[in-house]
Amino acid sequence: MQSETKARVDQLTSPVGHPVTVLRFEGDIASTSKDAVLGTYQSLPKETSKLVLLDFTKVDYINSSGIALVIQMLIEASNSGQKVYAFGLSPHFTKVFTMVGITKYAGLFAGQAEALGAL
Amino acid sequence: MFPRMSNRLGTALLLLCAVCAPRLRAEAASSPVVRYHFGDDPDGKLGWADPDFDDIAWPVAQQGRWLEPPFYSDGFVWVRVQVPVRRDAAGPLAVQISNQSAFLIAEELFVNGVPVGRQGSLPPQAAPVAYARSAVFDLPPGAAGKGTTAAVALRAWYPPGVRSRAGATAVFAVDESRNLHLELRANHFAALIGDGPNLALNAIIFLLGAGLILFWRWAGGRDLLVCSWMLMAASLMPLWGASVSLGLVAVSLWTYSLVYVGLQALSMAATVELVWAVHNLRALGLKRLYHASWVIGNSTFLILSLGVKPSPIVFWSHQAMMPALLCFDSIQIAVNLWALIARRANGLVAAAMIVIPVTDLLQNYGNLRGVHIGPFYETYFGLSLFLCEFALFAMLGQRAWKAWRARDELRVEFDAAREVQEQLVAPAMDVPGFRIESVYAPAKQVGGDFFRVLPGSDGSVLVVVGDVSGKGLKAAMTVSAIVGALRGCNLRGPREVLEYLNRVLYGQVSGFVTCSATLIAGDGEMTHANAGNPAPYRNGEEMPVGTGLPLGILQESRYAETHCQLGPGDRLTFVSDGIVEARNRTGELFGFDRTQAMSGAGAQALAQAAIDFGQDDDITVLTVTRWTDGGARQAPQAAPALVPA
Repeated sequence: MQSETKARVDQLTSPVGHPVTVLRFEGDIASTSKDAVLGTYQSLPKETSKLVLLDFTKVDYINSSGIALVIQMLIEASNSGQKVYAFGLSPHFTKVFTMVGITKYAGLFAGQAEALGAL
Repeated sequence: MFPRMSNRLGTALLLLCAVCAPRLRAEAASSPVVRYHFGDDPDGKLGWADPDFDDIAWPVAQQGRWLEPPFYSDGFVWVRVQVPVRRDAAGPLAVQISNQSAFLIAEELFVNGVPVGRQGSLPPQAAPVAYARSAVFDLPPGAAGKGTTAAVALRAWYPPGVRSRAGATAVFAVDESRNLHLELRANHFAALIGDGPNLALNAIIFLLGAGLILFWRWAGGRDLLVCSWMLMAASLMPLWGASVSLGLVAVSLWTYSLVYVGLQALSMAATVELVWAVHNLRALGLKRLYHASWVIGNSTFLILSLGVKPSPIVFWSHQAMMPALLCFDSIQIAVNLWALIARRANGLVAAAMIVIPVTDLLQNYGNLRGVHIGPFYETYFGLSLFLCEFALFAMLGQRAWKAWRARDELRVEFDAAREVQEQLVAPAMDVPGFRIESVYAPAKQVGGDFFRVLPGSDGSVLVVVGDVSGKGLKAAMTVSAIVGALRGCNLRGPREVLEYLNRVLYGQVSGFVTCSATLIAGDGEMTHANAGNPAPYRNGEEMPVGTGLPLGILQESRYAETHCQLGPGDRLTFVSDGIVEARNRTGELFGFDRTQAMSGAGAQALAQAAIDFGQDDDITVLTVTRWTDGGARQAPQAAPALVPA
């Protein structure tokens, strides 16, 4: 039932001209997604990736172990002084992310344009 | 004479003939000159079947072996031979043709220009037979004279798939009809006897494969399953081939070829999966090549079997089949040689699996054939298959048995762990002033959810509900630590309880723990703190509560408290995320809306609804209803067993 997690890195520019790194996830996020989630994030150069967007548009399901990975990534980003926004979450997982306090570390937006605009 | 013999005597004679007849016939046939010619004489205008036809210009078949026609031709070859007829032959005459290794052929036989019989159907409605068996055709009166020489002409047609091979032979005889029929039956009987050990061993292999399937249902294990499929398909393949070639089963070429190729493909696919499963290999590129080789090998085999016109697709199938099968054998040898060195624990299995492709290659490209033991015959390839299959059965069966024993011991350990957890997370009991109902349904034998209902001496009750990320034994061990920590904790304030648990868990868990703590005073005043758990429902409405990071993530997490007043009869429903994230087969979530809609229905109904929807995680539902009369302690609610969906 669980599908493999895929991650892709894109580079964009914010409306005010700042470079933005976008991590686009695909599939389910669970305990087996450590390499795709944390590994991809940790491979980003910290000095040039100060603004990070997390794209969950193509993510079908995130279980509690997957949420633990996302929280771990956000805490690392917070400690590195990175600004992180997430978008593309379904209403269900927007509520779950809010419930577990992720909103203290990452703003949640409906789409990429809104997230880019808020950076 | 034969029809008047008793059955027992007849059978004995048949047995004697079965053993002796092929040799007698071989000695009797004094190798007359066989001539052949490519092309056809469909309407007899060229006289190729006539006794007076002068075939001196036709090539002589060396040692009786004539060549098959070129690929791009009409596929016909005519064979002529002069066969002497005994002067002392009594009764009606017949002609016998003993086809030697005639695979895929349609043929028609003439004696002195008279058509006497055929096997398969020749063009334009071509329908060759898979195996042209030896046949006896009775001659019409006057077709041949005793003490003369009969001109026997064979009109044979080969489909494109079998043209341009090493050649074909047949033995022809014209003799007394009853003798030839008796000999034919004896030859069939001899073939049956000769194939007896082969058929019996393959039947045993099939039964072993079927036995492994039963064992697999009991013990599990992917290697056991694919091995059973391989054994059954690999044994059915020769059984099917022998049944058709011996005439035990009469089917069309289409049916024969489809069944044969299906079994062969299944056997080869199972071999690939078995090799990868047994040696725990990851080389996906090589595996795809391995699969591609059997797909190409079998599809080209099917095209060659069924193609009746020499088209480019048949030509390229002819070119591709052997290299594809060579590729399959080579990969099997290479991978198992590697496993022999790198996976020493699988050395015996690897060695057994090398034997099959090696003998296959020696049979196809060398001169390895078979062995006669008395009336029995077996190819070395067949023998290697038997040895390998028996060895695989024994080794994998023994390995699966050990694995099953280990799993059984583990199951006992899990049962013990479940019993311990049932003590730790026992069904909640009513407490003075509050009616409690609880459901705890782990997704596995043990779970990562937990709850505690702790009444205070002041009439209050502290309710702690939580969920360790992940599930199974690892999560259950964390639950034990949390329950132990709560037992040694005298704190009553929800915020203090969560912060205490966070300090206990920080650095001790790899994931996190969501948890909520709720203190309800005897007068109904409620204080709630939440560390990532779903908000509780009050009388079917989700309560607006503060949120906080789950426990065990940050050393100094702080949690806000939410206050409200519960009235008499108010019911709080606490759920774990296993409820809202129950998923059905289409991936749809049970979700917050359904949870809220059913939150007033009671713990049992809500939990069962989520389980029926599709349980994916541990499920906990706990309801706390404030009594109006401060009722006495009661026994736990008699909760019916939950039924998995």
